[in-house]
Amino acid sequence: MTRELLGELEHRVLLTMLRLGDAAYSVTVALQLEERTGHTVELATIQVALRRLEEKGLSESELRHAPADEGGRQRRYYRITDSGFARLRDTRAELISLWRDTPLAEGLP
Amino acid sequence: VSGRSGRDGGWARRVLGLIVAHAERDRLLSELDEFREARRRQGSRAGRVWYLRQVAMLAVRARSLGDGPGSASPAGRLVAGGRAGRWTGGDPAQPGSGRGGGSRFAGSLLLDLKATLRGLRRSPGIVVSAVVILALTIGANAAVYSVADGVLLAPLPYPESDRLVEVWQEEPGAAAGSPRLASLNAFLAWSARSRTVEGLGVWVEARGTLTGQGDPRDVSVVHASPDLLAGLGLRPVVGRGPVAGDDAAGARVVVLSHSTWTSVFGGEASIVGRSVRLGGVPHEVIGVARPGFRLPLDREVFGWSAVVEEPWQSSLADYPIYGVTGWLAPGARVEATRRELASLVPRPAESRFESLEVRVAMLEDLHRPDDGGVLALLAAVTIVLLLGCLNTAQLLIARGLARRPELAVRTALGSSGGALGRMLLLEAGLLSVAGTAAGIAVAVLLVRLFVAADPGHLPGWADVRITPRVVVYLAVVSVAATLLAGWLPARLARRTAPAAALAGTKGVSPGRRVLRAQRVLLAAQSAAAVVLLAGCALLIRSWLAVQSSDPGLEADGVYAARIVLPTDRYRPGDRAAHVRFFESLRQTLDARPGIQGAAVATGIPAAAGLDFDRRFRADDMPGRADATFSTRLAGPWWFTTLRTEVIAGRPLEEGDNVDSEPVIVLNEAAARQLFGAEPAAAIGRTVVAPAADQDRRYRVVGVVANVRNDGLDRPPPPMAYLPWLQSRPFGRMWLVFRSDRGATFAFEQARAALRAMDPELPLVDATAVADMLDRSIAARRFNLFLLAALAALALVVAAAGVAGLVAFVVTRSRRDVGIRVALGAGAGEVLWTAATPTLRAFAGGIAIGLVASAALARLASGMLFGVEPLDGLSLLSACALLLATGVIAALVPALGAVRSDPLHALRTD
Repeated sequence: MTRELLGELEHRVLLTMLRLGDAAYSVTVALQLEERTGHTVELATIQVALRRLEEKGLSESELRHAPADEGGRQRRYYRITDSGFARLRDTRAELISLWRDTPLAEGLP
Repeated sequence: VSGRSGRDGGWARRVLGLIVAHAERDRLLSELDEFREARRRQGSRAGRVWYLRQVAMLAVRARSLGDGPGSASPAGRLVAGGRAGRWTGGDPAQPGSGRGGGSRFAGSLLLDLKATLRGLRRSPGIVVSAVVILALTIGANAAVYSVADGVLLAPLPYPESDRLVEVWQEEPGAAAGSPRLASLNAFLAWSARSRTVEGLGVWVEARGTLTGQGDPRDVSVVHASPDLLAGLGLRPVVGRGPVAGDDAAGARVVVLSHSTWTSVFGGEASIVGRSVRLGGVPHEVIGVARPGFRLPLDREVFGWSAVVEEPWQSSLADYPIYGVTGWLAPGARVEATRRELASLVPRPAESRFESLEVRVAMLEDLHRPDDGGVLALLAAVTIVLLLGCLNTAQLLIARGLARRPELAVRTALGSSGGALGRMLLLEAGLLSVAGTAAGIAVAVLLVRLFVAADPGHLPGWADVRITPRVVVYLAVVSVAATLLAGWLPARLARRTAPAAALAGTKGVSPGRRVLRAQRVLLAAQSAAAVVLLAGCALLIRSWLAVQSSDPGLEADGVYAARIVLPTDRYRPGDRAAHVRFFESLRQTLDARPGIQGAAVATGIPAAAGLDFDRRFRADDMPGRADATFSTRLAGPWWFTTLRTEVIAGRPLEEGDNVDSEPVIVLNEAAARQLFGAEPAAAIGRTVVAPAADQDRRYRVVGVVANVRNDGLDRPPPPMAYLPWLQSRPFGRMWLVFRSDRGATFAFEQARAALRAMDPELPLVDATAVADMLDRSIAARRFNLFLLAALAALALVVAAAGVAGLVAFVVTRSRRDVGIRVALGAGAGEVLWTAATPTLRAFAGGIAIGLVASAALARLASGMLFGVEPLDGLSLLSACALLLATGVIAALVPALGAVRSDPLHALRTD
């Protein structure tokens, strides 16, 4: 079986989810991603990406109410599944190996 | 605290609701609100535009979802195979279970389409009736819109036509249809000194006999300023246009109109340089104008030439005989221009022209008739279209209900509740596309019919065709029809819970909401139909009134033709020659067997002539204001030939000539206006035509009946008749003659008499006066015909609506009826139960329609004649006809229910 790699956005979202742990849902992912990359992120992009990850079985979701001090609204929280972790590892390994063998890497700032 | 404003949230919910399941949608929007709060904390505005963008992005991206492996679950496949699956979200209790809900929107649309087509194929009856109704209503709409587009909306076929003006001079109070002409002296002053008009040019129409091309016939050539012709876009396709030097050489030249070129000369390019004989004078053809070029705008002419100043014309430099056209300077206003031009007119040598006033009008306003007829028809077809859509909507509701169990099963299997609604919209869309396609064919046919009928002699009528703008209109109409016909059924379907739908499969009666919606639709149909029927009744009554109105003459057996004396052989101003010619022509014709009278005059009823407007006042009533009458020069035996009743005094006679006292004959309206008394009281009194140097005085010798000179459906104008033998001679007269042996015979006699006088002269515009009068109401007849056809269509559609609803009720409550019949209910009772609610809705609609008719009738008042807009008889007969049709339409399916075997009905369940 050939190993599938993560798409760019999926990769970023999964990494952000990793960092957020239990608090990962669309708004936190979007804000966190924005903060760390400095690029503007649209919520819809994240909402759809999260959904897509779930369809692929790389994450799973759970409807939870927000804490009362945050208004108690319903949110869909996402958690990385085992295959999600596996995919992250595979992607990371492949990218590192690719980078390592690239002569140009030395010249990059 | 919700950060979402109610307004933003409302539409966002609706938009997203079309794409994702409601619970999921609410969650997505709630997250969006949080995101917006976060943005605002960061100092971003995140206002409505931002919100709109976010929702739009979500809507767009959510559609692309669903190509994950999870969507291939058995249930998902079934759902996707039937209806569009939606992003339904997972079960909150089971994380990860939502992966089966993916959708493939584009693919599912195609599947939806296929399923809808399959469904429609199963019920050809409904499809045929819906498509036929939509095709007729959409086709009629497009055809009438084409006419409105061509006649009312299309720009004039000239460059910068929005600045084009006509300038003319006329007596104060002149009738609206009078020729718009100005004098040469006025024109010269304007074109030299005006700062508010540019490119001012002059044109004058000259008639002559074309010889050497088959039978001699009367044609007209417009002599115009070369710059004006070029400015209006003559653009010769062959040869050249007239230039300023053309008249100087003394040679006569002509540029043929494109239709003359193709119809008379076979469209040969070698025509340039050839010579044609017009009025006996050879003219060199120098070019052919572009197709569609016109001057004047309202008729085709033989061709154009540079304006030539005839010797006799310079003596008439103060006579208003020229058309004057030009462009307003940028920024100039009509009224300011009129004031400027009025101040520039030089003082005429003859004082009788001093009272002429300058008029300026935009060409667009002059040639865009304020034709209530086209607008009323446009309103009528819109109502018919509405009717067609309502009917289709009603049909689809019934159909949606019938298919509800099938769809409920699908919904239960996971298809979303909106699928049925979407399917109904899709059905409506397919039906309206098919209806539009067939409607285009209907429209093409109707437009051909309209153009051929040419009822109103409106400019632009002959050029009416299906233009790109009409196609755009059709597309809009088609989409509107889809929404009108599909929206309500879809909305109803969406609100119906699947469980209720399943339970309803064997229910005794359809859902109350569905029935109510159908009744509302039916009531709207009957309301629309009654408006059309009432309008039609009003037009029919107007038509009858026109038919029975007294034209003021006995038109049957009277024939007319114009005689145009060529100026090269009959010198203008030669009174003796003109009188000799026309008097002996009249006497020769009168003496021929089978001819009962002949006479000449400057005009005949309902035709363009040389009648002119003139101001008069009663000599012995100094306080009164002057009155302007249409004035006709008429020869002896005029009234006798037309059989116009002489109410008092005597008609014009042979003795009223230059040697006798000037006399005048007034019609009843003119006599009353001048003297305000019984017509007989006018006899012997003196009428003055004011002029600055010397007033002209006429003794009233007769008062005649009013003649409907402006057309059968116009009020008879006040008219004055002056003896032709006492007036300035005219080289163009109408010859009128009476014969009881038919038109062919009468014209043969006239031709023979004319040949005896001058073998080269043709009878021009030979016509029966009755036809002329009839033509004056052709537009009315056409409107009536069209509105009657639309009303008939409305009647049929409304009847179909009633029959459909009653049949629907009967089918849905068949078991109920069966039980009643089995328990011994009489046929009448069953009928009553089945039909009454439907008919009550129908009658309610009629009542609403009555109110609407009363309100709308005022709009049609311009088309009415001899009947008030609020005509009780018309309204009542419309109601009665519609109600009777409704009852009959209701009885057919209801009777079928009574006759059916009750046991059979019970067994079906």
